[in-house]
Amino acid sequence: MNVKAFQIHKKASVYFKNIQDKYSVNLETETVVLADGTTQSFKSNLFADFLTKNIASEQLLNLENVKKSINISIQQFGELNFELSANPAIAILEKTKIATGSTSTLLAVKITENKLNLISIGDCNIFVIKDEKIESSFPFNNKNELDLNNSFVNTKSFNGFDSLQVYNSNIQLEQNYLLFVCSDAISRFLFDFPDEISSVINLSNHQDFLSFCELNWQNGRLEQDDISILIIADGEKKLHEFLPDSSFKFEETKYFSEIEFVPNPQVETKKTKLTPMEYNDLNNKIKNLENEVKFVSNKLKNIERLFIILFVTLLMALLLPYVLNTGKQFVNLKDEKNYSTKINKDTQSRVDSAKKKNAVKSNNGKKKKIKSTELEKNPKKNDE
Amino acid sequence: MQNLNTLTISSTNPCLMVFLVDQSYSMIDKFGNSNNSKALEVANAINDNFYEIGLRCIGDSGELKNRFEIAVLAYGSASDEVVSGWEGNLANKWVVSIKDIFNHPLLIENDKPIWIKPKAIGNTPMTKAFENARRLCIDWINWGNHKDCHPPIIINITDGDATDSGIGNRNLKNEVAKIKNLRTNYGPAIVLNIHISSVTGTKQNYPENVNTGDSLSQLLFDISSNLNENMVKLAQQAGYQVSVNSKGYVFNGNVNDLMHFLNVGTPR
Repeated sequence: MNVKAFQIHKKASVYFKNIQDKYSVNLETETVVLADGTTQSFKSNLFADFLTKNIASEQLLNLENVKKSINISIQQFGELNFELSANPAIAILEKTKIATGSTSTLLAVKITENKLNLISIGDCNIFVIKDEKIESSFPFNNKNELDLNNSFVNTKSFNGFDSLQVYNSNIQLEQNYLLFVCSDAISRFLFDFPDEISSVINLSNHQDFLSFCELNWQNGRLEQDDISILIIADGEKKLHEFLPDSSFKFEETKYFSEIEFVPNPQVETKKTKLTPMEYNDLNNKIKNLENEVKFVSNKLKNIERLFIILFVTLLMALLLPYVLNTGKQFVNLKDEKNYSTKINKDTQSRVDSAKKKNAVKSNNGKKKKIKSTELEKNPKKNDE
Repeated sequence: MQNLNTLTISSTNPCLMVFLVDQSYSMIDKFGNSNNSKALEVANAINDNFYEIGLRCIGDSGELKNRFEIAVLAYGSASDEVVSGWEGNLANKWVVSIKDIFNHPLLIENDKPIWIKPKAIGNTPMTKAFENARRLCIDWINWGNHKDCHPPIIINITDGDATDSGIGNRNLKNEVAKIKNLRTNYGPAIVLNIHISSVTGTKQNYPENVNTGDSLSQLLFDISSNLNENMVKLAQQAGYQVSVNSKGYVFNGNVNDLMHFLNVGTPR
């Protein structure tokens, strides 16, 4: 039995050490075991590793030995100590994960004199290849059958095979047989694209295998998953492992999901009605506003009054000198007027006196007649 | 259109889940036969669902992978408004990655993280909630590589009594129809309704027709999307009796029903 083992981890795992597919080959007993730890369970890669090693170490491949190996693996897994996350919310998730156990599929084959003994639980598959074509495949004949299988071994719930879909079969192989033992993603690929079998047969180093996977990941024909192919051929007992270097890793991709998506502002649509509480609130606000307006209005009125007073005061201050000056002039004028009135009075009295004299003269016939008009015209002269 | 069956929800191709949460006053009523209010049942259900989603996103080394981006649109908690339902450090955010959700729980209670608290306050502007969800989904689909992602899943959790659905519920139906027309390269957005009723009726999950005794059931049933082929397949694997004629409607689903319901809507 000649075995070529090809493995690569899914890009999301970044490092090869994170691969959850595990295999074990026992050339002495001609046993090959592949286990696919499920992504959604806790540390399934460790459980898968225990499973493959324990099953491959058995001399005989039968249900009893597989059951014993599963129980040993569960015990070994249970003895591991795991450090929980410092984040309490995540630590709760981890506790739940641990409590629900670790799960894995498994497929074990043992070849004895061209007779294949197969035990499988889950969606790994084995293809019998002839002339670069699929001659037969087990347990699944097509992708639909494979997809409908939902069986796996769980560290917490395993209680024998009664509740599991266990495939156990013996298959007669031809001379120069060629077998592909595959994990689920590459199994689907081979069902979908059987023409690619020749490509797989011709794989001879890790770089070719990596290029093959990357090409088909890129074109969407191969699922983004861990990929494991164990090519078993009739021949010399030898194992060739085509695995990545220990330093190999996929570049960490900056996913859109790591960038915060911020939607456009959620524009509120217009309100159609108010609740009583909102109505009261709005009413109170309007009343408050009204009071404030009144208050401001009163203030403005007072300020207006103050301004008027100030204006008047200023005006008075400006006009006072003029008013005072004008007052003096008025007083002078008044004096003048009084004086004039006095003169007029004096003049009048003189006129009256003259009239009296004239009256006396006329009465006497000798007195000189004086014209009152002349005296009125020139009182000063008259005065002089 | 790409085949949804071939798509794995991942950090590369995350899925948007929009929870529309009815926080109207009527949610203060008792839920079915339970002593709990409908509001409390809804809050518990959502918190449990976040927790379930977290379980689907945690890696071997304890790191959370951003496979889901989640929005919580609360309606009824602020009168006729639709607001972000996130609180605490996540307040005012609309869409939050599952990693951020677990980095910022509101509190840890009985060994369970809590993000959403029960509320029952105002009206039920369900139409407006769908309208906001539509805008948010449009933005999300047109951002980054989201056209190559799983279509958004909108999950409305309500007692069904909308106050802005219009005459003959026309406004609500139109708005939901618009959301269903949104699509990524993997298909149309999916609208699911979880009907939390005061009526003590038989639970119904993904029925092909509805007869619950609650007058609002028919409306929520009608506006729910049919389960797509992928969802039917996953539901059948989980043991549900569903077909392509089944609708994304759950009547009086309890917490477990809600979790199973959402798990069905979230590919494995």
